[in-house]
Amino acid sequence: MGAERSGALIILLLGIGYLWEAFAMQVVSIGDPLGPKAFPIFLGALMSLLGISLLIKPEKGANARLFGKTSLGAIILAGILAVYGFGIEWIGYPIATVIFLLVATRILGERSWIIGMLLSMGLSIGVFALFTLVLDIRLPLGPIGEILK
Amino acid sequence: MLDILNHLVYGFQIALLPINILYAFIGCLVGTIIGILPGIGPAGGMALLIPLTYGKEPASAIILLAGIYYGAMYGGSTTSILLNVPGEAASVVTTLDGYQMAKKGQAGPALFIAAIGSFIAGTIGIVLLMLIGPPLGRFALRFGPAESFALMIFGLSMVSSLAGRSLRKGLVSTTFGLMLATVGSDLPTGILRFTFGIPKFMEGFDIVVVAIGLFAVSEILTCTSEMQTGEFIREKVTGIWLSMKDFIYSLGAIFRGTFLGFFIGILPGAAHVTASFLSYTLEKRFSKNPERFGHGEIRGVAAPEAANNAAACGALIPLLTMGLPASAVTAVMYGALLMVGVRPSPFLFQKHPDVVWGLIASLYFGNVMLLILNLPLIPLWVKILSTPSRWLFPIVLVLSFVGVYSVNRSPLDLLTATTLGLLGYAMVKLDYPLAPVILGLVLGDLMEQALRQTLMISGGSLRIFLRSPIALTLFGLAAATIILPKILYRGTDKLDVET
Amino acid sequence: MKVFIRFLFVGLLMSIGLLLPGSGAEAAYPDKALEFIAPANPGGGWDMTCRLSAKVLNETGLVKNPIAVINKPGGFGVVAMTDIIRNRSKDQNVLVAFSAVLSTQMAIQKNPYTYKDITPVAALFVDYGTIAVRKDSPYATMKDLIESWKKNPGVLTFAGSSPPGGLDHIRMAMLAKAIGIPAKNILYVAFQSGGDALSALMGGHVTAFVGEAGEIAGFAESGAVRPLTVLGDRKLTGIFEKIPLAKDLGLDVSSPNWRGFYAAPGMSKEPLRYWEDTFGKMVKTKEWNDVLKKQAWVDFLLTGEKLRNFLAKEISMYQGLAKELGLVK
Repeated sequence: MGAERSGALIILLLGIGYLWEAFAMQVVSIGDPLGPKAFPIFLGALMSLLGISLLIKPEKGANARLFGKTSLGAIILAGILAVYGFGIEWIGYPIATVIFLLVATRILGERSWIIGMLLSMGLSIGVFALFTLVLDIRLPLGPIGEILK
Repeated sequence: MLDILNHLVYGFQIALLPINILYAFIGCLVGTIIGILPGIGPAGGMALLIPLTYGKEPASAIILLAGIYYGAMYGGSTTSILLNVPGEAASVVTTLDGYQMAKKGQAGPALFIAAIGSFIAGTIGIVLLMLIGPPLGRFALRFGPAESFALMIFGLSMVSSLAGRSLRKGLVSTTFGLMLATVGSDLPTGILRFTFGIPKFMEGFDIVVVAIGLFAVSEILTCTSEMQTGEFIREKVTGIWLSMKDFIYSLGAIFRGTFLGFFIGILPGAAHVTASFLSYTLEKRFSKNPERFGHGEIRGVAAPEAANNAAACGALIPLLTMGLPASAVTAVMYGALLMVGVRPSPFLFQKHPDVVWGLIASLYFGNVMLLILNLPLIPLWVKILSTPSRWLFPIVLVLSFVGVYSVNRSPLDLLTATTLGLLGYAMVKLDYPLAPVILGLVLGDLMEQALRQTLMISGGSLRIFLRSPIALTLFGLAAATIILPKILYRGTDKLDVET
Repeated sequence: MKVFIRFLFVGLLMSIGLLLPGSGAEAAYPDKALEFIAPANPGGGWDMTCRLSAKVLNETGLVKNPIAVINKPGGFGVVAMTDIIRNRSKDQNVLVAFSAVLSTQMAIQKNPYTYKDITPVAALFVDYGTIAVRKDSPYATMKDLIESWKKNPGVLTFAGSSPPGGLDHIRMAMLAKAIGIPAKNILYVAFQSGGDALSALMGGHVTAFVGEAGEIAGFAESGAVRPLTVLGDRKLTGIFEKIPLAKDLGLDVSSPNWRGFYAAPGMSKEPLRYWEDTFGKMVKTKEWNDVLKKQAWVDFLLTGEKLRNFLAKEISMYQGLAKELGLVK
């Protein structure tokens, strides 16, 4: 099965899953003729039909490959990004950002650790200054904040 | 007329007080920064800076906020064009052709036309606001739930133009956006839908988070994979300045975008997003070369930019003439006015002429200021593009993430953005268009709510729509949007094949 | 320039203050930067509660530490409450705005917690409910409206800004009960905000508006909207002075939307006492009373045991009403 059909299958599954949830909704509604279920049921049904239609008769001319080597870098970057998202809160903005920049520049082809380190430090401080000094937005400091106390 | 001129002179006397010029300048500057930073957006930015208005004269406070509002609308287009990062929801449309222009080395002209388009639209918008604001404010009130629903249907009918090669895939993207919109607490009943017990989902999906994920993150992921296969090419910058030819070519689009944006801006709901989508599709529909759209057509940048700035003006009308905030941004202004002791009401023009006319005058002034502030920056922005991608992409990601984080302080927002980034990556690979997802998300909530409110009022009868000439007109337009091209281009298949 | 410098300076000070707190190590509470959380978007009642009291507290010098106001919207306050209870239960430096809206949400179990899961700190003021119509409405008085409503209960529509079972809906239910109309016959239309509901009224899309007096004060003054009754215990001033109270019309309905603050469940005695004292002082200041006057709010200070008793009573009353409405089983 090609990527095109796999996509259609995912759409069909999404439609069915959504429809399932929509029907399972517990509803107490008063004075609301349409209710909270009607619109989701319509959407779920529409999505399922589109999925079936694309499964039976895929669009011509598309032959993308999703899970080749080409996607590996993108998936790794996304993984690091997700960790960074939580890192801002866990270990504070400064450490999380420096580590993220260091790793991300490396993945994208920066060869020198020194340049990477300088870049990461400089940028973290720059962005921090922009947010705290100009926009007055506080960012979590994590353990660095504790040490400074 | 003379009356208006007198008022305007009075307004300028207020706006041109040195202290107010300074506030306007700070507002424009901070607004531009906020607009450029992905994730914060005009409403969030204004809310963050409301403390600055404490203890100020009401006129000064509102001038400061209006500067932020305007500056953010201006700045929002910059990153959309340069990096495919929509600074706020209304600039999603600008990415479609703006980023393509940048990829072809045309970032300079794209930024220029966006700035000039915004300037022209802003200026015309203020003149219209001043001349016909009050009657339009009363007209906007005729948009009840039934009329709003019709407007959303009209908005969704535009999807057929955004769909790209396959209408079915366009529909999938739209439906997905509408599905995202249903997540969260259902307003008319208060029950939770599709939240799976996650408290974060109760507030639904934030448009900015989704836009950052689908556009910014997914684009960088795509580029990352292209860099590895060596397909990644960014063409050399061919020119920074806008040619006269391009300017004249875009002028019509700017005017069309302006008028459309202004009138849609007055209406309740997500006006400036709808306005930018609508003006883009209209340009594409009536263009002699619709196939150029999506591949770096300059009119595709000019029209939506003009539309969203004109809509920003239009959106002030319900607030200033009726005392009713019709959009998220004017709701923040409403709160700020309350805080400085001005109670918004239909009396605002009479009771607080200093606030209203000072604001109008400062908008003229702020527009000029923004143009002066932004034009010299363009060469600088273009230079950013020559930064090696291995440095540029991580920086963009950090700015986007910190921007998004600062709004709700939720790591889950960042996880959402990452997930949607991966999804967007897959969608692009499989040729599913991304813009309709945003349109669906913006309109979905409002549309369902409006329909249910309509039926609550009518007790379940659909006849209520027949009683509203506005709703009937809009349904007619929606039908025409879908059917007309099929008739016009029958046999040629022009739209389906070449777009 | 002065402002710009101040602007930078304040930012600088705040960041320094953030980096170097605790210069007096054993200083009395509060020894850190303080945070007021508005569990809704900017511009609404909760946001105003936070911003205006933070402003008065800082400006009068009652609280020397800078108070930052942060918006954490979602689920009518549930998102912020969940965060406080689960993640910040020991945090002494944060207060969250709350109001009668939270009581109704707890009553209909849309909010999984009760007031016992948090530390109620103080109620500060109330905004009374009101029923209003458009200026050209055929209903000149509340009596006209009631008579017409009795005759054709399925025709009159009411626009409010809370979800069904929320405060505005409950106000309608209380009225209907007092008049003798079955709760099922109330055509209540929920809008996103008071402003949206008011737009629907002024556009002639609904019969009447149900909401707070403060929301429509400006519109009543301009004559665009006509308030028919105030759902409160005492007469309001200004434009509402001549508007009859519901109980004067023989309807035993009073639905004050009080507003105040709660704190994390683990707030210790000393900080709690500090805030009770501070709010006690704040409501006596001229600055605060100016705020009340401007917003058409009425002073309503409740703390400690009194506040908890009040909450218990209110929630059980709303629970009863919600059951009658069929919103909870």
